[in-house]
Amino acid sequence: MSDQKKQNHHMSLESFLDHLRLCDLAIIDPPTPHGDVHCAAIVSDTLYRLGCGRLNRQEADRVCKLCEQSMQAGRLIQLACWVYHHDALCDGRYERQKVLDLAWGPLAELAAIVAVENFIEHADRREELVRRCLAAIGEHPADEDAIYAATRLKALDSIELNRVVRDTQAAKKRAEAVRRAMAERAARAAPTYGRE
Amino acid sequence: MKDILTSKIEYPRITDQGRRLLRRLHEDDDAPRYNYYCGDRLTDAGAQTVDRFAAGLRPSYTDTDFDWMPAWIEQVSEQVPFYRYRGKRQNFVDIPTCSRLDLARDISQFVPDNTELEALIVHGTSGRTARPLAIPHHPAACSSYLPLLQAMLQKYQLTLQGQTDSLAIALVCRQRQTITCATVSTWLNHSGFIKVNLNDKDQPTPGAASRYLNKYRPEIITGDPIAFTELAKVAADLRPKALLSTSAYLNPALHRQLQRDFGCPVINYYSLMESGPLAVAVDGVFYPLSADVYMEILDDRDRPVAMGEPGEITLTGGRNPYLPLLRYRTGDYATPAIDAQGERVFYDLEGRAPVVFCGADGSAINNIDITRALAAVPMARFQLHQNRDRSIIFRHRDAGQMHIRERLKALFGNVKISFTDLSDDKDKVITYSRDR
Repeated sequence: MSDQKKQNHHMSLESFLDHLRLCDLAIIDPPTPHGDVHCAAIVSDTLYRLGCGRLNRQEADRVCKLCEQSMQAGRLIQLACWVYHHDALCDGRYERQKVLDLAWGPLAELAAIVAVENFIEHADRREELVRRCLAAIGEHPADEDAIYAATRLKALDSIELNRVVRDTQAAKKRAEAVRRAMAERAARAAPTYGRE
Repeated sequence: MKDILTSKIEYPRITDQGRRLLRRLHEDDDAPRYNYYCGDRLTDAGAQTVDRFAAGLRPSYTDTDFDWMPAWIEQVSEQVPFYRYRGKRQNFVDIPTCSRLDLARDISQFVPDNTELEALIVHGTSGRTARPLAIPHHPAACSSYLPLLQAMLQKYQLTLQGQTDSLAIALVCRQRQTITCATVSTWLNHSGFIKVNLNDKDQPTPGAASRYLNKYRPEIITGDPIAFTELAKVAADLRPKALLSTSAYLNPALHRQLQRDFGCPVINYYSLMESGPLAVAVDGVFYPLSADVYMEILDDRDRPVAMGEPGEITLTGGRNPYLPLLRYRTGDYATPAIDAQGERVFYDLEGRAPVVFCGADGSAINNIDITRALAAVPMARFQLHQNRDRSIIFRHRDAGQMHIRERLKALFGNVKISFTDLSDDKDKVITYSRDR
């Protein structure tokens, strides 16, 4: 196998999905202070493997605080670190801020709406997490272009789906409130002084 | 009656003088049998809204008066579910139109998300051209009709002052059955407003309607051509400042006759429940009354017709906060023009023609009475045609024939009624017609 072919093989979506599906479940054990896993240490190690240096004190404090506020967010960050430990990404010299932004933003939001276990057990959620991790560092699976990868991620986007569901529920509730108000006030009118 | 006089909800701003007038209007020996009690529900904030609206009215409008439109369209496209689901368009002319059918499907989708529902009231349309519809309305939008009536009169160098302790407006109807009421407008100097039905069974004694109207002598009288024709029979000695006619085509010969009968101008105006008054006619040309509703005349592909070509009147804007209209097809047709001063006007308004049918015994039957009789039968729309021999053809879909037949028999008596299917391919149907 040529080096390029090897690289393509490593960067294939299936390879990442298998890597996640077969993860060591200890990776989603609760982080401190809820459990014994030191999430900040895992993140720091992941950054190092990605060629991004290590967490500084401030960043480490922020990870700890995030875990303190949301155990699920900490568990999902740990699982994302597992994805980033895929061999194909080793020493990639990626932008550390992009990795950290993923942790501060979408992963914390995702953890609030989807059970962390689902990102291992369910095919779509597994694919979503892999694609989110790759997209965050500007990568996409081999044999895909950036547009296809972005479109596919959009289709799997649980945050967007949750927003749509939330908006739909709010719209339904509002429509019911309007209909109820109209029904209750069917006998209430005020003069309009002329025929229509 | 006592409740209405003391109700802070019906009359948040009523004065003792207003109460006295209201009591007189109700307790007069010749007072009609009023069947509905309501106040103007106008709060101080609502009155200020009407004041601001009145202050913005001008004798004529140019295109720059409609500069509010882009920002307003942006706002309703985000806040009104129906428009939001349709998505935004770069150009105004690319925005798809909507119609009464869309309102009928689910009018709750037209109420902006962020509008407080506390003040919501409900008005029903008469359904001259379609099935009656419940419209969410706002007291301030209802009272905004008053400055618009004043603007119509101004076109004729007349005024509507509304003096305390006197009757400003009488709305006359000629229907088998309708809501009737006497109220006070706290915005118009606490003057009186009555809605009366010129129907013998609504009066306490023979001739009471004439005596009552002559006693209170309304400053102006509003109504439709059918009601004015009846008014000429029962109270031709009334001398209001003007008759204001809407809701139905005003035949020119009848127009002239009514002006002779009452010795005052008969002013024709264009108004919809969905929007309120829109335009007033002077010599057959309709002039916009305000700049808060933009009127386009469109072809059937949502494109503005050329000047001189007829098309459907389509509205954008509105003063009812519960029903912002974005390219709303009214179902009424007119021909656009630019007048000598450069104002956009229209003529040849082909509105909703009043149709008087003939019962088996030769009695006259108003189409509104038919609409009301059929209101309880679930129908999206229907067409009723009466042949020269008085037989009736009823076109409809999805409704129980037996119920319709029973109701029509109750109105028309023993006439032949046949039923056929009404196709769904037409957006607008002429609901009522008859052989001449």
